[in-house]
Amino acid sequence: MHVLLIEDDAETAEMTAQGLRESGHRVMVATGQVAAEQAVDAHDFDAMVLDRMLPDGDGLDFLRRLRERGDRIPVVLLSALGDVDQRIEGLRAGGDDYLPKPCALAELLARLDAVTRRRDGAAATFLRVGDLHMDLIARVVQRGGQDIALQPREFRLLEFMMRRPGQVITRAMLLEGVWHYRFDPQTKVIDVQLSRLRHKIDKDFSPPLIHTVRGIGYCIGALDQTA
Amino acid sequence: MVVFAALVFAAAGPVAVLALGAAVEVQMDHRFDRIARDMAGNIRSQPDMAAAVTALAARTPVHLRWIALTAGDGRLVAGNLGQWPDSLPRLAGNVTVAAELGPVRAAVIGMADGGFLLIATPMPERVFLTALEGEVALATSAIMLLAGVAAGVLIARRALHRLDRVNRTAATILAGDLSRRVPRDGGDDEYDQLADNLNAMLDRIQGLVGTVRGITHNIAHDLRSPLNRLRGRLEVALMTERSPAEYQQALAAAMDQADSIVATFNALLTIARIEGGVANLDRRAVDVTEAVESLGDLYQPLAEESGLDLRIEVDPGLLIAGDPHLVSQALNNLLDNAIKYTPAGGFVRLSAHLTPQGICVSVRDSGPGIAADQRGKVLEHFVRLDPARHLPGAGLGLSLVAAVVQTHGAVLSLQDGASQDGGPGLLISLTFPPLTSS
Repeated sequence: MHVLLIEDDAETAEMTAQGLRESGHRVMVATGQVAAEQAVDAHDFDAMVLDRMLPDGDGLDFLRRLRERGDRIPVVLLSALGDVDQRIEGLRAGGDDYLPKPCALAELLARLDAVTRRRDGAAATFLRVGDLHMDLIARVVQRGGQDIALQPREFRLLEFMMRRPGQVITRAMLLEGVWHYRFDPQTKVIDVQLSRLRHKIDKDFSPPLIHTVRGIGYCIGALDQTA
Repeated sequence: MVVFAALVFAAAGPVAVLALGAAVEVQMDHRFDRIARDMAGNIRSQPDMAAAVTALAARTPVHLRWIALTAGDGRLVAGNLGQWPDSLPRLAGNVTVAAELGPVRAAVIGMADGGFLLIATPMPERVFLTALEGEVALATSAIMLLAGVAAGVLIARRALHRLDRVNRTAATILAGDLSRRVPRDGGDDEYDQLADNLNAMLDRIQGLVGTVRGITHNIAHDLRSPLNRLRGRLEVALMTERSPAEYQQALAAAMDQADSIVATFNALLTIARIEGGVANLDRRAVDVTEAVESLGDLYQPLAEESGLDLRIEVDPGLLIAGDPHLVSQALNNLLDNAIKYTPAGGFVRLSAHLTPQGICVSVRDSGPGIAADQRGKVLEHFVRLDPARHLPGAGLGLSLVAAVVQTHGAVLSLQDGASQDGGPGLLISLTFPPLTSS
């Protein structure tokens, strides 16, 4: 995809841009609001990474102007201001996701991927990944026609993942999406949760559906590289 | 100030002397007036007043008393004077007049025939007395002036000397020696009170500086080691030619190291933000019941993996006022620690109950516990107990708990877990004030 990266620190911009390019994206860098506005007028972008603290003001002002004129481009906000309040403020201004700085490049890539995919599955009551089926009304999970008994938290975890098939899902996304935690518990709680779930979903079946994405998180179904 | 005080002091002496002198003179005048009145009464009671005056005058020396009687036409009838004194008006009354040898106190009494009876007392010693008064006044004035100036200078020097000591102490402290204190004189006066207050202030500052110094030192220490390890890892990786797989492994390990450094920084920032922003705390109703259940849910598989029996006991509908994320994070850190430090086969209990003191959330484990004398230290920044040194991050986690406890008006207590199976265990309780409906 074509990404507009708005970041004033040259070294950070350079590094982030390189990471995005090597992941197969086209990147344009703008170092301030004015340059960003010009870039938006001249090109079509699929997504935007917006640093809040810019030399010519708060990146949120730029985002608000963008939304006021009806631009729905997916935006991931980056900020050293990692407070919950500021996160809420960022999302209210029209951001699709908000990451505190410093953040891992892999985290940013996963979030970008998530915000650019169409969420047409949000209201679905029946989810399917390969031969794994989830019926949200009956609260039943089957694989290859066989019932799999899940605890409530395992069910919520699997639902979160099955709504994002083929996407990289980071630990932070799981903590946030399933447990509503926005801090890092500094323990392998998520890994243990996933290994439990994986045991139930993949142990007696083939091929494995839940994959570990090294150093980043997990993915359900074949990793979709086209985004 | 000192000069003014000395002048007032010097003026006070002569004024006192002169006032005393005037009082003595008035007393003398009154006495002489009384004597004159008695003598006049005696003379007027005689049938022949002229004869009585003549008889009296005959035995009265003129330097002791003047006696004279005039007739209605002003003619001198009797007495020991050659003539009516010039300076004395012929008017009834008591008056002091000047004469050759000094002042004279005179009583002039009007007679029925229009004449006057004069009885007067010369007071030559008044001249001497007045002179003496002047000299004494001058002398006291001089003495008082000297004493006043001396006392003033002494007091001022003492005050300046004590201020100078405060100043010099302050200068030494400014130069970097925070251990210096302002000396006391033991007089318990305003200067000693000033010294006490300054010293109390210095004690507090020294304590705070010590804390900050300790924190800075610990931050440097805690970050230097992982940074050195990171650097070492990269250095070793670059030493010889390696396969791409080996490079990948080395880089991944380096990334993990960097992540843990960032995590330490984030924890420090969070604590600093909590401690610095009590007023900005986002206070909402926090559903403790839900927070505890959710946490138990998150940790259950890890506890089972670690061979621990994790049980959640929670009353329904417990609400407190606070920041839900911070409360969750604090409880997370406590539970995380309990699971980390409790050996396999033990238990961890996470419970939340309504007690008379408030809403009590506690984590009890069967781990090694914390010795009673170490418990105070546990919550200080970065302090890690020795047995736990090999497990990372414990100190900061508890510091965050302490900061959350402080900003939420909660009470933290550490007790023995009183486990039945071996280890002393640990019971950490946070008691929050319940949410008031107002």
